[in-house]
Amino acid sequence: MSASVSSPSQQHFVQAVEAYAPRLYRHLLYLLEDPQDAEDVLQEAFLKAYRSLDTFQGRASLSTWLYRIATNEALMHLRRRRSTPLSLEALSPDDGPPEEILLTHWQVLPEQALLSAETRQVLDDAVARLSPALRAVFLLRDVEGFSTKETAEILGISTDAVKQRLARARLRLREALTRYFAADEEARP
Amino acid sequence: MSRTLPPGCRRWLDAIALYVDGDLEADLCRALEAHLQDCPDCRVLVDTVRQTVYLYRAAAREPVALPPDLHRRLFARLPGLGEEGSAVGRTDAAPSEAAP
Ligand SMILES: [Zn+2]
Repeated sequence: MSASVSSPSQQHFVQAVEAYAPRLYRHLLYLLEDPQDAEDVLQEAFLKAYRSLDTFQGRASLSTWLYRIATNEALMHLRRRRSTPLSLEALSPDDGPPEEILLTHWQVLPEQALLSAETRQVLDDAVARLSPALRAVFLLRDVEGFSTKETAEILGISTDAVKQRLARARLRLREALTRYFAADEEARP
Repeated sequence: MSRTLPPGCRRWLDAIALYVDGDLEADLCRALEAHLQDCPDCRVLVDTVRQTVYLYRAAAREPVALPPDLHRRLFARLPGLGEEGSAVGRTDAAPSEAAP
């Protein structure tokens, strides 16, 4: 079969690449923490999606399908990169709720300070400290905005597992951010 | 010394983390709300989890910068799309039309 760009599915694909590449790239950058890896995996994912266009045909939503391919590529990449086995199936003991839950109100920051470069760094560092199992769920639900059901489809896990991981991820991130935004100076490191 | 959550409230942790965007079964939600009435500590948790999620969602709405030329490298690897297709998909095969 000779690929022709004028076929409707290919045109659709070109539009999808243009529409989703920035969000997918950000998702992969968060997951992989390396710009070159994120681009490599993005390319692999689009290549894979392009080759299996025939099998797509609207079974799932296009975005869910693309995120599933890209997220799976990223997790395979992480498995290859790490010497320790990486499990998406089971949570490790480190994925439980934080040992200590600080009860400190946050200082009220002016709107523009909320997303200063410094704050962004704090947010990104906190995500980077999550295990891949928690990180993938948090990114899909709270950063990319997928529903619990869509996130379960993308990752191939149950909705209960999505909820549990999302809860654990949010609690860990809250703990990290509380240490930064604490209204009470004593709570800061 | 800053205060930490009393051990008796730890069982509410997962529920509180999911409460902030309504991803909680009705029964559990009602039970949690009854607890929150009487527990200022867990109310602090609800507030700060909500702020955490709010911050990440606000950050996610910021535009994403793609590495320069990523589209071109991407389309160059897709058979049939590398040399034609959309304007962003053009490769070095058409240097005269490439941006300076
Ligand atoms: Zn409580």
